[in-house]
Amino acid sequence: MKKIARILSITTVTLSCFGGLSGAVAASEYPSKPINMIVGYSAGGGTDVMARTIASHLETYLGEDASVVVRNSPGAGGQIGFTKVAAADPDGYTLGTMNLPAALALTYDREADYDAKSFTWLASFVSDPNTLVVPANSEITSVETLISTARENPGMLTVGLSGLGGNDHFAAIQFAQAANIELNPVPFSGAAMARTSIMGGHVAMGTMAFSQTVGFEEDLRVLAVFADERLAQAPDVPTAKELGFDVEMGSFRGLVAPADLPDDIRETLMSALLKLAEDADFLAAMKKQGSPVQFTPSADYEALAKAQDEAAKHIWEETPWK
Amino acid sequence: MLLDAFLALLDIWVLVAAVFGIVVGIVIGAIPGLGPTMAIALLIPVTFSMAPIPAITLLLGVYQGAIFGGSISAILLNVPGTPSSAATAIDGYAMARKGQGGKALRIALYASVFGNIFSCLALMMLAQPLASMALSFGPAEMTTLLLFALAVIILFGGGAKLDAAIMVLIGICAGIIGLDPIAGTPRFTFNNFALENGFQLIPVLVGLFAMSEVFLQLFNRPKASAGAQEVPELLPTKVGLAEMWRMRTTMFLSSVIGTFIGILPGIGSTVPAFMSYSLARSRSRSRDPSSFGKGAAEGVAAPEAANNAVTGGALIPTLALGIPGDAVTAVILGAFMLQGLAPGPFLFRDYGVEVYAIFEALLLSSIPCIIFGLLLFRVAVHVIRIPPRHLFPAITILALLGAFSVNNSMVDVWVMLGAGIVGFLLRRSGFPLPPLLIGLILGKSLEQSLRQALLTSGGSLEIFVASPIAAGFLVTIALCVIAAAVFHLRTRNKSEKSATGNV
Repeated sequence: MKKIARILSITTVTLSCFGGLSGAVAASEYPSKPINMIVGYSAGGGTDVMARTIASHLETYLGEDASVVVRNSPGAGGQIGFTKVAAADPDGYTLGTMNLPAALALTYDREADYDAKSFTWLASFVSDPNTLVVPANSEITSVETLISTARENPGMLTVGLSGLGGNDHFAAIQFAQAANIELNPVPFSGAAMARTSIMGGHVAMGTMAFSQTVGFEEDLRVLAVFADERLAQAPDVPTAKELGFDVEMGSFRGLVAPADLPDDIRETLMSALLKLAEDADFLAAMKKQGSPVQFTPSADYEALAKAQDEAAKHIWEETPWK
Repeated sequence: MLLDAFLALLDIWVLVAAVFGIVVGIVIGAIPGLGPTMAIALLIPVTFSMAPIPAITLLLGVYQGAIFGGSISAILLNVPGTPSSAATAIDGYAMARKGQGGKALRIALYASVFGNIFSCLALMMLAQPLASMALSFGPAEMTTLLLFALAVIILFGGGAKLDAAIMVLIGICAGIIGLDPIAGTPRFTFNNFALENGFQLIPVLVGLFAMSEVFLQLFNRPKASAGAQEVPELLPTKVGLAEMWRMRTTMFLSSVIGTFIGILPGIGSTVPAFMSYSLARSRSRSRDPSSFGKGAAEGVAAPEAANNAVTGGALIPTLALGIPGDAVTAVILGAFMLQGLAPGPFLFRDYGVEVYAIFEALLLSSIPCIIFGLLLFRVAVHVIRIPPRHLFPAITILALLGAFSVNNSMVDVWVMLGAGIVGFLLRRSGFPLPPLLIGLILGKSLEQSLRQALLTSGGSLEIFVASPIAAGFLVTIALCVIAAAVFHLRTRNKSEKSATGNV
């Protein structure tokens, strides 16, 4: 009996060694060449800056010789880059940045060669909730007064939007539905233009992402955030949920790979990303760029993507923006 | 603060960055179709690993260099490298045909530097108060400002006013193609995805000005071969200080226009270039009426001073409010954010040294700009002696390449060739092209602002009178129309009298 037990234990040990060994081989094999990180926007934009910060810090956690190269494929609102990632081989050498809800929203308003199922959702790094914001000198001082003003002049309260089909547009629609009011959306070309018009009092309110309000505290008053809990950067601002409006919307930036990424490569990447999420240098660099960092790994990220996809689909069916 | 900032500039890498940026900028800007935006986009990855001050000095150097480079091809080849140098081409090319290409380039260079220094000083002294001016421009104010700009181009741009008005309207109509700016509906895109963003400016510019020139030469063959015989002689290029001093008021007013319009987001440098050209033309009318369009030095100095003054102006809202005025400042804004300098009202407070160092770098880079500008144009000026049959194939290739490289899209190439044919037909029929370009640039913004204003007011036109700024612009437009009409009647009476007198 003892013999059998010994043989068994030896076999187990040997097997586990092999198992461990094969794991080690796979891990040392990947990455064996440079990893491309595709950014659907041009160099110097917010997403590109995030990609470059992730790329340079990720290299250290992927092994000594690892190199991550950022490649910009701008055009068509990011669609060209997203399509490239979706169409690439799932070998771990093509990763891409992902912008929610924009990337999935555009699959409804035009022909796109990908959908939420075309990606392996690795991790979201930036979560930038939308807000309800009015000019600092506005007579509207709370969500309550905002709603009563909107009810007094139905369809006249102007909302400055960065454009159509973006997260602030979705936030405005969802809030108007939740509060049962009618707003008057005025699209601008870009978030900064919309913000300037709000600051100048040319439009009454906005639903811009929180990071857009940072640095403009003297000219803007944030009434509520559309996040599930209060933000550490603005603890005095209530969430819409606290006030009784079930609205959650924001812009999320993360990292994806093509669908069907092999599990061993995925684990290597995930363990590197988890270490990255705790790296003080990395967090400081992200914070300096003004992006609210919130690390949401794989399964939760996929759930977030599905929720955003549903929201975009729903809005497109009810109030198409194009 | 200013001294600290100056000390931060005393770094060999800042000098290297400035010189490298300017030289690369001039070379890229001189190639038709590759403008400052392209030059900056090409170089931005180089700056990723650099410290903030040299990185942004490099990009601003590229920008300045490319603007001057654009006027090299505008003056010598009548092929503007950037939309704003289309104004420079009018008198610059005329000077070059007379053999004064070198002189025109020198004037362009000095006027550029003047405009740059002027707007830079305005930026350094008035950035904060001027930023708040941008805040008071909402949709209604923008609408009336854009109308004013169009009125100036039509009324004072020279040539028949009806022709100019027709061209502006065609340009505005061309701007309808693409997504509706308010509702997002695709208009006249024929389900073609590439047309959803409308006509891209660079392919249209290259087609209208460069390709149409090639077509003109093609159909003028007998004349062209005769023209090849009479290669203009290169006249001495010296420009005295006195000559520049004579143009001081023109340059000053042009710089004010450039800086002011640069502050307003989304208008860019083409409109101030043409506005100041028109202004210079109407001011000098009493002295020297016919010289404009035939090689007037002031016709080169005015747009060059204005389009360089835009840089400083456009940086004000970019840095203080985070609104990039055009594609170039958008890229510079990205570079700032990449370096961790987040724009906004607190930028000046939190990163004062960096910001002022960058302003001073912009100011001081005028010195290498003059040195290398003078060195490079000595070579470039000989281009005028290349016979057209050798030159135009090269221009065609560059035009195709330039149009394609904007978005790596063949649609842009077809747009460029289409614009070339349209430009050729219009030029043969004697219509001016610049108003068409301005109409195309401003049409979209005008439509968007107008509809935004009407959305906010619930469809009432009162919004344009209620705002003092908007009302002021409307009154100014009315005054301009009256002035132009009175002037027109007076000159007609005079010419009739002189005509009868001759009889």
